[in-house]
Amino acid sequence: MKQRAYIVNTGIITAIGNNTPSCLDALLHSRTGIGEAEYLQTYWSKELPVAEVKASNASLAAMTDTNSLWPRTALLSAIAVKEAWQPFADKATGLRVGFFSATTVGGMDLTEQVYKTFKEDSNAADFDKIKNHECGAITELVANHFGISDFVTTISTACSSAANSIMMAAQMIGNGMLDIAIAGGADSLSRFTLNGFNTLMILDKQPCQPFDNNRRGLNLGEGAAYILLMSEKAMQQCGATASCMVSGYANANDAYHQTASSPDGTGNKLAMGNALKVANLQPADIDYINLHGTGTANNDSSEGKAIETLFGSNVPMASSTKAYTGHTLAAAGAVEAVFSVLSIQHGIVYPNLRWQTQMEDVGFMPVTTLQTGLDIRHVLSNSFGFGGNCSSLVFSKC
Amino acid sequence: MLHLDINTKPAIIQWLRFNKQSVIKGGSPLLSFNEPVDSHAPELIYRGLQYNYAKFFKMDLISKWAWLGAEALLKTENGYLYDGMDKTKIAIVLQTNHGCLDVDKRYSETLATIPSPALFVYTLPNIMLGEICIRHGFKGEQACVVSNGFDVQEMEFWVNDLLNNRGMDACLCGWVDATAGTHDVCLFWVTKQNAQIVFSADAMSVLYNK
Repeated sequence: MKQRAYIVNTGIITAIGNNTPSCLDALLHSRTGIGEAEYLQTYWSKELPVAEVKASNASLAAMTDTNSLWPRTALLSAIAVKEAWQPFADKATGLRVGFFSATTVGGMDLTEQVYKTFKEDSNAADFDKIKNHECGAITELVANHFGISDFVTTISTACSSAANSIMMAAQMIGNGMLDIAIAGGADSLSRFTLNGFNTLMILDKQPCQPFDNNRRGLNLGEGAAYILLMSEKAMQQCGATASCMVSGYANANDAYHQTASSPDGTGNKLAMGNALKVANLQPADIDYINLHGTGTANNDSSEGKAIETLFGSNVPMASSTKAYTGHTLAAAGAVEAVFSVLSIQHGIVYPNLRWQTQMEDVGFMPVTTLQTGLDIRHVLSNSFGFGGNCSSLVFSKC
Repeated sequence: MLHLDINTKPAIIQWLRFNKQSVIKGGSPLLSFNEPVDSHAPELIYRGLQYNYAKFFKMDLISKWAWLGAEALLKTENGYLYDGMDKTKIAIVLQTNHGCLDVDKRYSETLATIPSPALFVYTLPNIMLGEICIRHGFKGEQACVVSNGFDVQEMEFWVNDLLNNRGMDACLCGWVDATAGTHDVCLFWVTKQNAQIVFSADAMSVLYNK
């Protein structure tokens, strides 16, 4: 018998808030985080809007007593981990705690600084700054800061990274290999990702419009989010309560293209269908779909078609929250996991901001006004990434 | 349906080598040219072997070589070596030295004007594995290793581990290296099946140096 992976707490920092309550408040009041870059040093600051956390590295570091010379991804990660973990850290004596953190940017922000100096004068470059370049270094910094050592791992599977870290954590709790897991991901903005996505011509020069017929692309965002998972035994010891649990998960690959989904969303369909199977649910049981909904022509079309294939004419309420937070890459699956938990806890469904025109090749329309007072029992959250990496999670009310 | 015996040691079922003037499969020439074909070698071989996969022409240099190598290695008279196998249990391990430097350079030249998305997506050496997986539908374990030369010892370790301990039934492995004007490609199809050539570092070395 598999153990249940209960969600007992959340931690988050994005462009719309520095913690769970402030992000919820922004969602309730349709406050977007997308705007001009102030802290990211880029040639494109006037042209390419981003969803930036409006704080310097020094003030981010001060929020958790960490080192402002850390990569920004690690600073963001520590803030969200602290929110999720701190209330229980002293109560977990003797329990096996795992840390599952996703990132794609790693320490790239600092490496970019070194690279620029190095090109100008190789002797002037501060190579200390690249020692945390590698993705795993981010996880290690944060794990060490919070003294977590029973199981520590980094997952980097593009935009599905955090969904996969939550999936792995739920599986390890499910199989009795851990009692507690802090699972999610973090990514800061960097010139590398902004320029890379710009090269692919999938960035919107205006605030993005996911699932709109006239969508033009995505806006990059930054942030970190984690959910705190516990087994029943760990909850008893820590005096924790849970409103919901990770009930389903699956990943699949559509092996179609390096940076695009297959037109009919083969991988998307497989991921959603298999996650429902793991949760032992039928499509009709899902109350809300938190869409991957990046706002690119390709994603929204193949995601929409895959949903229609799976749900037929009874597509549940669905919306993308990337119009608030931007696409936070490796953190996205965890940011949206936190939003899914909030949807269940508060009985709400968020409006898909800036939606105007029905898509021609997808029949359903997203939710466009805040829905409240609902009984949300099961939420499906999608994360589809480059390389055909497709993951879906199901969250269910306890 | 292939019968795979868990107690059988991995064996090299087929191998392929691109030489300067020929394509050698299992020791016999598949295609040969009258003179060295280095400048447009991938396209000449593609046409010579009468393949039909339009996406080939969009690929970067190393992906073209890897794709051609896999195609020539795996094709049988009536189908492919993996017919009837579970494609989620087919692995790929490739080594390279220059990786995708050829397309890296070409991409960086476009930065002066409009950065090319078509080139950008190939600026990782492991994309060549993706192209093979997309073509053949392989969904097993994959690894791409950059090394100074074909490290047969390391290859032996990874492939044996995948087939003996990681639930893989077959592995496409080998060395794929190319720069504009040069190429060095040697691929092997390895499964757990009784066959003449037992899979080993020595066997790969002998076939590579033939």
